[in-house]
Amino acid sequence: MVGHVILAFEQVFDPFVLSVVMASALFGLFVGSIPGLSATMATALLVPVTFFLPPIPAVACMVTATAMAIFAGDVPGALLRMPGTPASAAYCHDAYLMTRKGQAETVLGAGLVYSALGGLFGTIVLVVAAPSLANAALRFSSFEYFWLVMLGLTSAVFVSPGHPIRGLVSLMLGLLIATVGFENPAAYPRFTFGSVDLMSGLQLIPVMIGMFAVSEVARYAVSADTPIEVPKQDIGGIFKGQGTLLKTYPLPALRGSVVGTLIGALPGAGADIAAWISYAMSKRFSKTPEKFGTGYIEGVIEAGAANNSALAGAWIPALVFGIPGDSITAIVIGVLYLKGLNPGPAIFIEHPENIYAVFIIFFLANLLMLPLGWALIKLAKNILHVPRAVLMPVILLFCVVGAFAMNNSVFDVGVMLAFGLLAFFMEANEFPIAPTILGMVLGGMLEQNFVTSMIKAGGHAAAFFDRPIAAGLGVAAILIWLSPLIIARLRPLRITNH
Amino acid sequence: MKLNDALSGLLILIFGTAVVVNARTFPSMASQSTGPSLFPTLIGGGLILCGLALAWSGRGRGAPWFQADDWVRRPRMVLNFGLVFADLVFYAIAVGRLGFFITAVIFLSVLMLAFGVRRPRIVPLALAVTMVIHYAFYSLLRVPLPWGVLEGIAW
Repeated sequence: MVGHVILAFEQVFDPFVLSVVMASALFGLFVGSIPGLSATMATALLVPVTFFLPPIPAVACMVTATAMAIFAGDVPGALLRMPGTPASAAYCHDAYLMTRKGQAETVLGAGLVYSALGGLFGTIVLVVAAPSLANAALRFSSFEYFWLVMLGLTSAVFVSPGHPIRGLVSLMLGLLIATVGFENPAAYPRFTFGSVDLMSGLQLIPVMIGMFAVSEVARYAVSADTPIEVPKQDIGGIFKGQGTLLKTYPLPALRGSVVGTLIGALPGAGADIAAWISYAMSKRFSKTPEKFGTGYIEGVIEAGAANNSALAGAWIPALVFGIPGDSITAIVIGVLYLKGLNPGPAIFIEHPENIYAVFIIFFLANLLMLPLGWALIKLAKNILHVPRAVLMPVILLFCVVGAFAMNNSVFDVGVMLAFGLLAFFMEANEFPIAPTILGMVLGGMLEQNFVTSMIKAGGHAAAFFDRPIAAGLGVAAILIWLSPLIIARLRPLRITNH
Repeated sequence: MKLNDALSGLLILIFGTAVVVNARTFPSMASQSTGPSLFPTLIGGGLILCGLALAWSGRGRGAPWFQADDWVRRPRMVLNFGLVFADLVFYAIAVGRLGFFITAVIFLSVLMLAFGVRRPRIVPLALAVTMVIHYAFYSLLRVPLPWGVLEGIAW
């Protein structure tokens, strides 16, 4: 093992990899701090770049950029009351009110320190949990994998904001997209309508860029762009007083990190949902809940730690099972396959040095966040002035170059365009996007394991519950499906009891 | 552009039915219940159920069938929206013939003009961005961006 760890260090501390880490850190900080550009979008835009990089720098690029973007989202939240990424929305109001009270240094410093601490906590859990889970997963058969994917897709539907039916429609759409082409157990070309381009299926990357980046540019195009007013006040020492804060609020910081890691590991829910849940939890357990929403630091600490720890948490199921914990890891999994780093328990045994390298990059990114985040806060006024009227066309050019560069195919640009339009209208009608991507990533795996299991079982559905772990996972999935009915049943009982 | 739940439910129902009908034309595997049509049929069936549920929940709400967003009433915004997608089509068609440089400068200039960047700044900005992206993708990442009519000065 020591040999593998040393090998991993050599892979990461290579001048080229370190310069990629640095460049993607700056990119992540920039994208995260511009309202309207999310961390998921940063990842989608990086995919074409990673396509031309070796595996380790490719992974380093995405890990660093997303960690930085999630922190950077706090900066415009505190200064402009506009969250830079959706993950900062939960506590944006409190952070902005603190700036108005003249406490900009404290709230920005806390955002930075607890982002880094949360990220490091999530990374430690990832380092501890992933290898042991992988060990257990080695014994999994198609039955366990089938239920695992079902459980993942189920939580994606139920955790996504809005009505579960809308999440379900979005998921079905993703599963349907995954069936296009001849890459299925029967190798029969499905839904290709005679098109040669559709034979190998719809490619994940143009779909992603379309749904996460093109749709965002379209949304900007139809919004009235109001010029951004950056507060004039100077920002001094942000680290002053952070030690006292840590002594005052150790429990919220820890709770935020734990909850964030767990929510992150749950498929379909990422940093933004982790922040909302942690903020609500912080208020619930606080000694002074009445102060929440008036410019109070406690919720900022807890939710700020939660969104960064969720990023690392999301990698646990992604690396061990190939099941993404959020939409960022859904993109990452696509890249891992492209790079020959197929996620799953096997990689932990065959190429442990690559897994250790991922862990090291996570630590590195979260430590690098402190100096770079400090610089971002110092420069924030200048960065927030970058006009979006210039930025959005540049992003769109990036999208089209990216979608085009991989196969040099006009068809991929068409796919990107079509899915950009689809995502735009889905969001306008409150259908969440993340389940579509999850369905698309997991559809093939679900069908493969279902068909394999059915053949093994000779068509007897009971075999899906024969093995103990499979049965446990299956029961859990079914219980979640039935939960709305159970809750609806219990509600009248509770009312009569009172 | 917001559709009434009953209407979007109906559309999803029709789409799900089309999926099932199409999937039923796939060949069945001899001696096996799990042919290529099973999975798409289940998904189509799921879409039909979701469509029904959505239509049922939207019944009798009195919401209009179709509610246009504010931007639809503003010609400028509709133009901007169309331009985003037209620009992408333009790139895909033109890049092979005109080459990356010319296509990208036009691509950027059109959108910057539409989004209200001050005119004297547009072309210099578009040129600068194009140079940077070209350097990053062509020189650093070795993506074969086409030269088109500028083949003579290719490096």
